Amino acid sequence: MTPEPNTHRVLSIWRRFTPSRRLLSADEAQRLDQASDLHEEVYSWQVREPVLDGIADDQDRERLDAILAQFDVNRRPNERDLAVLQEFVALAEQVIESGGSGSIAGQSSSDAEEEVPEIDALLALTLHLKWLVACFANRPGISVSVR
Amino acid sequence: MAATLLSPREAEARIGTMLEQAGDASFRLAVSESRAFQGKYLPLGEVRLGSGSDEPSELIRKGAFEWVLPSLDEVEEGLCRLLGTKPSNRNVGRALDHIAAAALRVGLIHPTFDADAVAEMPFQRSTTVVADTSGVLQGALDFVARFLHPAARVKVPAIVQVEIVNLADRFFSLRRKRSDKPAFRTSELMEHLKSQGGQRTLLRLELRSDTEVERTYLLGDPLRGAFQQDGNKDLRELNLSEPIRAYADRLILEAARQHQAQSGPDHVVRLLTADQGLTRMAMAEGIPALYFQAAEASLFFGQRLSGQTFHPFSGFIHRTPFSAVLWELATAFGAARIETKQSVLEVLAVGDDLPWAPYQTTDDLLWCRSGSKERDDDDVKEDSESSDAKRDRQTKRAQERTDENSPPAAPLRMLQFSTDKLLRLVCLLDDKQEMPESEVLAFLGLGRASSISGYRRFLEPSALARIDNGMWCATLGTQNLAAALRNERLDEVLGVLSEVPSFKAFAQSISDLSIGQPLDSSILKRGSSNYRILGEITRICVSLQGVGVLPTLSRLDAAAFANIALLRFTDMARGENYVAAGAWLEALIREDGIHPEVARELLDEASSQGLLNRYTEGSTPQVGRGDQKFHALRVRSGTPVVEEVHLHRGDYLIPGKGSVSLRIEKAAS
Repeated sequence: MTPEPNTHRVLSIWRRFTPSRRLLSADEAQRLDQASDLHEEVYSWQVREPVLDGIADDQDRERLDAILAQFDVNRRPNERDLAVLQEFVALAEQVIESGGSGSIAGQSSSDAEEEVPEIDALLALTLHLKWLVACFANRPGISVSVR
Repeated sequence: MAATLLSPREAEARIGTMLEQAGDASFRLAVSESRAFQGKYLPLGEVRLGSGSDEPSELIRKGAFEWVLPSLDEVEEGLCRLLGTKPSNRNVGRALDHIAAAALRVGLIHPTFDADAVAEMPFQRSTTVVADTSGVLQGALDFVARFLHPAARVKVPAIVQVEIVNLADRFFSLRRKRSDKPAFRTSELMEHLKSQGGQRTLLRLELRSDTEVERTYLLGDPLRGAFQQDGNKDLRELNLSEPIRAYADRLILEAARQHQAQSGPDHVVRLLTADQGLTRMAMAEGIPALYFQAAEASLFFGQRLSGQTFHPFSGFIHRTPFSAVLWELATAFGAARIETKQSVLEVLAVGDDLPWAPYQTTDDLLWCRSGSKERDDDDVKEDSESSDAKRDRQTKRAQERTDENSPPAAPLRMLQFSTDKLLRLVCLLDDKQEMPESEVLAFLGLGRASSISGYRRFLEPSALARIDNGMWCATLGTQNLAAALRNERLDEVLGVLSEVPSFKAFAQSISDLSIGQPLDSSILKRGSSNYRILGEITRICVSLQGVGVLPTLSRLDAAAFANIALLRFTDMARGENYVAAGAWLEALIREDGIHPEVARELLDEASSQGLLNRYTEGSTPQVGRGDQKFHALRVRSGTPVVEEVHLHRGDYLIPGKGSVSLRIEKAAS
């Protein structure tokens, strides 16, 4: 399995959307109403670093990539809910604890003047995802996509 | 260890030097509330610097560190042990939560916001965030200022400032009572964590953040009713004691409502709070809340945190310098410290003997003291004592000594003699083997036999001379001491002199001192200068002007000295290339207990061994900075001479070469 490039992916969090009025999809001449399975994007976050590149073990990287693949937007929302994100976090924490996550040369910084140092991107990503999981946990109708 | 005021940036450099000297990229972190923990430290895990080509100080500044925190159970157990209480004490859990809040404030972790609130972030419309006290204390206001500004404007109602001032007042009231009861100490810890952390947040926003903070009217009349009991009979009958607790909340909500009324229709006003009741009240009145969950210890302890995180909305790398963490913990607890294998750095925000002035807050300066672990073993134990406690302990020990009337605390029985003449007399007696007392009197320049008693009582009881029927005779002790003096074998001189009861007592009182602690002048009484001079030439002490007689008992090898020399230079240089050599020598006396003669020899040795590079400047030998001097033994024409040495003399450090200023660099490996 060839891992997909892991930079410039966009992580989105979706919330089930119930329109107050009926909507019409002009392309497909389809009416969308309250019974439709619609979702609105409530959070969008672009990964600017090759977050998995610092992982020493190819197998670890592939396992994490395989979980990310589950967030394909073409899958059903209930197949890519926060539980899958928690699965990614748990595995990433195992990799970090085992010392398997190394540093990569940082590419992005909010301060253009500063030289970007090396960063344990997997740890930074894991901390960020844990925050998202904590914030959106228990909220019904939440799903995640990675594009 | 003497404390100096440092900015976070200066501390980064100092920590970097510590790590370079230790040859390690990790250190342990601990915190102390001096009264609540009774001077002990609570370990808070280990910090490891990231890899990279940068210097350690740069890695610290760029947030390239990982902080591995101990588990919640471990910290709870340690905290209970320090407070003398049990985990069932509800305040212990709350204190742990407030420790977690420090990490939230500094930005290592983010507050857990309501999912719908996150969905609104980052704000697309101009928004005013009105913070309540929980928002200030638990890091949510910092989050808004850090990641949502400038779309979000921050508004801090005056009542929040008042509440935090009240917290601070309660903390200092408890601190002044100095109770040892566990419940009392636990309360003091709580109030310390809340009040000082809260004040730091407000000051950070005001002084160091580009966030615009607005303030509102108090909107309370009479405001005091929110914080103290009102004796008004009518009010008492209304049984307002419970509802009045929510009065402050009401004032905060009123501040938000007032701002909303003044804003345009497109402007959103949100209330930032972790208070469920206030949130419901705001929602019921049409003020959208920016609700977040109160800080939880379980989300903090046992974690591995990093100073390099991703911006929660842009995805860019966001950095939190380690010094920011250290400063936050030091402010919240009163003291924080890091320790490497070799040295310790203590950062202090509160202390009985630490003065405060507004410029310290403006420049974000805290008191720092550092030292080597070899010289301060007490400091590096797991739950070691803070300086406050150590001082208390020393005071207590001194008191105990007084109580027991043990010899070191009692005034020492000093004999009167001239040190220089005494030592030359020993050599002369060794040469002549026998001298009539008249000849001894003539040599000493004394007219009366009674004046000689000081010399006799110093030498005879310890067999450094034998006196038979007015004849002074040399002994084996005379021979040994004379040989040691003529050959400047000062350890031997010290060994021989230590057999003399009065000098032994003096040396013992010196060795009882900790580094930097001056000898209690009240125990010296008459003749003390003779013994001080003997102490200086045998290198066990030095008298510093304005300080007193300080112990200089540290004996190091060249490698250990090189580390300390470099650390002390870095401390003093503060970015300058050179420091005054005399001041550097004084610092070694005060901070490290190293005698100037020892320092001079070891500097030369370390330089010869390539352990460091030293550079000096100053072409004119000069006497600077007053008359700071000490006594050293020199041998002139085979005769020992006690000479005064000016510490700041330009050619002292490197004889024959101008060395007024000194630069030390770590040798390239």
